[in-house]
Amino acid sequence: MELQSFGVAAPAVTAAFVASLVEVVEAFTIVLAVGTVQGWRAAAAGTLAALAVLGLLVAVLGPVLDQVPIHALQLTVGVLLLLFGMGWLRKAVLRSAGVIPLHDEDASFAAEKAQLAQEAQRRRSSLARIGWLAAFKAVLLEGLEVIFIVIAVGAGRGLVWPASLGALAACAVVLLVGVVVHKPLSRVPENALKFGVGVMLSAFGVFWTGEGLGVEWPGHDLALLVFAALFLLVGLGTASLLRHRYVEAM
Amino acid sequence: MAILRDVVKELIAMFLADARLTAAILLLVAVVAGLISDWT
Repeated sequence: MELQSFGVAAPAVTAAFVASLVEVVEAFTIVLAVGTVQGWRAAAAGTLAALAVLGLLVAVLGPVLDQVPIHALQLTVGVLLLLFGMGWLRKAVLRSAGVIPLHDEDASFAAEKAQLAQEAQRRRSSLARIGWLAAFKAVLLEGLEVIFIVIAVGAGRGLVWPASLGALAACAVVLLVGVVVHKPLSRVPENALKFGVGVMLSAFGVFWTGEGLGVEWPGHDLALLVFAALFLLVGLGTASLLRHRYVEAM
Repeated sequence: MAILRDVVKELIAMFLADARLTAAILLLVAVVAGLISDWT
């Protein structure tokens, strides 16, 4: 693989893998809560139904993407990536600085279990349906984010398949670890991963937006790595600055 | 219908979580696009 193609392919696959890891961990926590409270049949049925819907969406949207002119696709995806990536980066910076609390997978698991138990008490007749719905919604919503990320980092250079493999690898890792430990994956350094993904998605956002607008980046694909380094430096600097201010204000 | 509503809400929140950040990004892209079209 040429150095320039590798400059985009490697970050695309890595971004898809890490972002999917975060999303799948979140979905896994809810499916695990459903399985524990409502039974595994409802959890598995809801998960499979959501995966079927996601598969259908990919099958329908995939061919449509090929029809979109490449510059329009790069610009649209670039702007959406900027909005999405900067949102993640902003939240990760605030969490890293201690301004907002870190996402706690154990707490999410407990909250989901409590909510399911409460729902189950309220509507005794449809226990399985409540569990099915919770698992379905969780997998569908997190899955939609995974699909967007895969398309967004891959579509601009025909890297949807490698990015998909990155996402599938993340699913396999979470499932394998989840089946073995059989509890929420709270030891995953979620904020550090979100910080990294925010940096990479924002860098892709700038890169694709520029390409969509007809900019010829100096260094071509390698410019992506420069953007990522800049976002990382600014992100870390902002987090450090905010942490100091936040500590002083306390 | 509730699922559909939640999905749409989640999709909007994915991209428009913070109004000021969203507005700033869109404005920046519009300005850069304008500068590029003037330049070329």
